[in-house]
Amino acid sequence: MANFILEVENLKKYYGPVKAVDGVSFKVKQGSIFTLLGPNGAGKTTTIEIIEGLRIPDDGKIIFMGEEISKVGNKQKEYIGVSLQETNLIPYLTVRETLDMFKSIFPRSLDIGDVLRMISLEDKANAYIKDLSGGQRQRLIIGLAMINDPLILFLDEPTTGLDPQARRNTWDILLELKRKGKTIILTTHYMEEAEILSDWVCIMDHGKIIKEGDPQSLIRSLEKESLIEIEVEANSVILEKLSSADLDPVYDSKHKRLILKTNDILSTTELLLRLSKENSLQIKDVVIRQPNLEDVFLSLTGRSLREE
Amino acid sequence: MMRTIKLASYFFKSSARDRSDFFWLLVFPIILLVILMLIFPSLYEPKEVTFNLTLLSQDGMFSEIIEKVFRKLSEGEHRVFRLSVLKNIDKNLDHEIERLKKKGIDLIVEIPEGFDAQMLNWIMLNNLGITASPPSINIYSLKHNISSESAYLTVKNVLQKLELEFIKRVGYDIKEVESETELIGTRSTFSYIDFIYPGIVIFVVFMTGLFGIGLHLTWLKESGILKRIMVTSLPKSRFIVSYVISRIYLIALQITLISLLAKFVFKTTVNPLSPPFIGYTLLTVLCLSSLGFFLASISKTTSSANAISQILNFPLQFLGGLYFPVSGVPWAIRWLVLINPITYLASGIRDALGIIKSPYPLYITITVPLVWTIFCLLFTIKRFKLEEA
Repeated sequence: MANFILEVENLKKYYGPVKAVDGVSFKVKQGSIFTLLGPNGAGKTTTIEIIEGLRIPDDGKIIFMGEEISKVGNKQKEYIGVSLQETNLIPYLTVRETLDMFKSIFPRSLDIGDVLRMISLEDKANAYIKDLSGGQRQRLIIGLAMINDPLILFLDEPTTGLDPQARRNTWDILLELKRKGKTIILTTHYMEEAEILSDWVCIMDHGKIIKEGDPQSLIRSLEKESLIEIEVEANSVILEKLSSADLDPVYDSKHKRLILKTNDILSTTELLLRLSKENSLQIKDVVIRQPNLEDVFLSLTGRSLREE
Repeated sequence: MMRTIKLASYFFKSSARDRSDFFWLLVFPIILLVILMLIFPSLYEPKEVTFNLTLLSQDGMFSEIIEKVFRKLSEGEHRVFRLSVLKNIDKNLDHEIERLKKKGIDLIVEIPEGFDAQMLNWIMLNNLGITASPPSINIYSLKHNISSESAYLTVKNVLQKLELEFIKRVGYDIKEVESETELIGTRSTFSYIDFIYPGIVIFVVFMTGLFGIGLHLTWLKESGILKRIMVTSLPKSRFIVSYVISRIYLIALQITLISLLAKFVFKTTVNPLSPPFIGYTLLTVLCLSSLGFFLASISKTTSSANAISQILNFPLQFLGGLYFPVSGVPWAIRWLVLINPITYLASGIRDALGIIKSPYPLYITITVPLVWTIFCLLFTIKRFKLEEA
């Protein structure tokens, strides 16, 4: 039987007519990386800020480590570590002082040296926060979330704004934390991040969970092995012909991007070339790739994650 | 408790290391004090004070003892009074009051007719165990006139220190004569540093209230640092206590620096460890810190907090009588003086230290700042939300 460290049932948070979180339910397995994936404004941050105790839900149930609670209080906060979406730190404190400041908040905490080693900031221990790079700052923020040796880590878009190298460094830290048995609840709008890190993904849109599962099963749910992405000016006649060939065409007229799903790349390419000749289509670029979580979102909503 | 202190020390460090905070909260008050002392150089050097005093005396044993004491204090090179003793009160009182109003003299001490008889009667009643009102000595001073009020305090002090048993027992009543007059620039018989030092102390607390609390707390809120702290298991009460302690560190450092400068460079005679000074300073900290919390409650961004603090800063500072007396300002802006808590704090602390008499009763100088404190704190409790910051 699965050991769930956190369960959320029918969570709601409304701001007037805006349903920021509209009946969200999920379960998080202990020691897993659980991801809320969705575009900006999907309700990911509001959902985890309710679980972090920053917001009071209008309705719903939270079962935290087996105990049903109406609101996350200081008792539960002892066991959680948080990295907020936009975290600023006091610029005139050093890295060590910042860790020590947060350490002083908790009765139980890790050694500062151990945390510095874990986030690879030993050589920056005496540097002021204002002098850190974006990646170093983000690593420190994860270190601060770890300072009380929590059981659950909430990381709200921890890699937004980081360069690819810094992003990969952050992923390494998160995978190491998972290896140490920590449960990580992550929000992101990067499908690659969700795909690489997650054990379980909940795709959110307009305050609701529209699909959930492990990344591979979500991708397999598309029932197509490959995607052909074409930069072309398509018209309704072409789209109709592609639909009748069971290629599920999705066309983004703004970016002139056509995506076709197929299990037979060769015959689909032949069909595409034939249609191109018959209708004098100007194909500028063709990419054949494996489907990913973004395609899952696209097929569910008709919109791209990045469009938001 | 140690963890609370540690958190407070980091809040303090963050302000002390911030160049802007360091300048405005620690360096600028020192510069201001030096500039003010350079602008008023003739007022800065403490001078020997000699007050022009008229004693309207009576014949009789007790009156003559008082007269002798004042004569003694009016002798020699370092005399305190330039004394003129007159006997016929009915004939001379009105004339002397006119002289007082025209600043020809600083003070009138009147031993009323029948004083000796009243004294004897009172002592007898006292000996019989009957409680009766003591006879009074009337002192006439000019309100809002530094020399006159200083003379009043000196005479009050002399009377208190007289080693005569009868004065100790009977006490005295004081009556005042009101007169419109300007305070500064007419005489140079007081020390400007004694006047300005408590003003600068109030100023540094005021700056900490507006910028060190109001603006700083708004920045903590706007930048998400407060939210980051509140998402931990830190109880709200512990955060507030830590933050208040950090501001007390800051204010203590500011007052220490200003006091050292005032004491050892500008030679103030004000004792910063005297109970009235400490008492009013604590009241100032309470009131003006609350104002800072109020500012943080009404400001959503540092830009708005900055704008509001600038709007509050100049009227409260300059119409609070920190640098010059404001009792003579036109009625059109008088209301700003009267609703300003700094007016009462500055008057109260100077009166309590014997620098200049407050135009307001003591209880008013305490009550008005306390009303401000309560209003600001209640507003903060209602409006300032830590959780959803």
